[in-house]
Amino acid sequence: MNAESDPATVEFERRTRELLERSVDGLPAQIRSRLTRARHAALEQAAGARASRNVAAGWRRWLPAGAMSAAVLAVLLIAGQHRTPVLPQASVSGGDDLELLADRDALALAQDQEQILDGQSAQDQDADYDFYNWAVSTARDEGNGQVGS
Amino acid sequence: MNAFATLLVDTASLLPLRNSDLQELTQHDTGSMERFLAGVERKAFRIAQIALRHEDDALDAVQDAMLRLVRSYAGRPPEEWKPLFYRILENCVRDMQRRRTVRGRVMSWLPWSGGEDGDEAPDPMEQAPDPAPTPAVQAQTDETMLALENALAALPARQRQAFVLRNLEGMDVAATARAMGCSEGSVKTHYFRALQTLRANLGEFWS
Repeated sequence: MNAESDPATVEFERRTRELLERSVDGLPAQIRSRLTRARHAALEQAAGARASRNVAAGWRRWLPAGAMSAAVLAVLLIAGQHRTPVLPQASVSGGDDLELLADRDALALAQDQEQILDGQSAQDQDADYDFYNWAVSTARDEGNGQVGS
Repeated sequence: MNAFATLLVDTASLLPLRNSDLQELTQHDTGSMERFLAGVERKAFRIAQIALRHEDDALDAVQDAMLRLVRSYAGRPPEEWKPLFYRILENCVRDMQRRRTVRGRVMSWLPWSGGEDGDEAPDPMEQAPDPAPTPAVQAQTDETMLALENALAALPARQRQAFVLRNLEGMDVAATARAMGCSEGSVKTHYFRALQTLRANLGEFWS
């Protein structure tokens, strides 16, 4: 190994290095241009591969959250479909019907209320009023007659 | 045991990046990688050309090495890039030589190949530098340069690698050892033997 420090060897190394470096510096423009293109192509390809890897990584990162959201949404939609036809009518009209059926007076009252609220029931109410007037006057007349007779 | 441990460390240093390292890769300054590649590409091309004795193959090897470095090792510290790059380049050169050998064997069996190409042995006339009258090409056509290239190409691969990395690329023994995937002692041995052989073969050109 001592030959490395031998002046002749050192000189040989210097000359070979000089020769090789000169050949590197003297590369034709065509080769230098192709090397530049190769470098750019390598960097672009690597950037493209990196971008696609990032997209894939993004997909992998957001996939569980997306799946969970979709599952929750599906559960809500299915539950909503089952509950929608039952809720409004069952809670209001069904409950009232049961109460009315359980209480006859309430049923009659409700029917009267319905008739009163109805437009035609006003005439009936007048008729009832006339009837009551007639009944009172008839009773009075009969009373008078009986007293008088 | 020490050699085995060294081999393990060397192998680990060449493993591709894991997902956690990819985060560093995305944040890495692409400009510094481009500057690094621009700084080594010409010497890398000459080293590949000396080994392959073919311009297009050398360009392919350099581009492949660049791509592999950027794709897999850009997240590593910049001081590791050079040994990694030259190690990848040597692998690319070896792959290309292997492919050539297989192609040559297949072609020699084909009846229409005629065997005029024989094997993949480099044709000195084909490998001669372009005789365009520019100073750069003039330097390449220099007889001494040709003799040096031929002598380097005739060296065993490990000796040639040690010589060009130390002599042309100017890497120290430790970096050369990392690039070659061997111990520093092996680098010194390969380099010493390469020097001896080259001096013996090129003596007439240097006298």
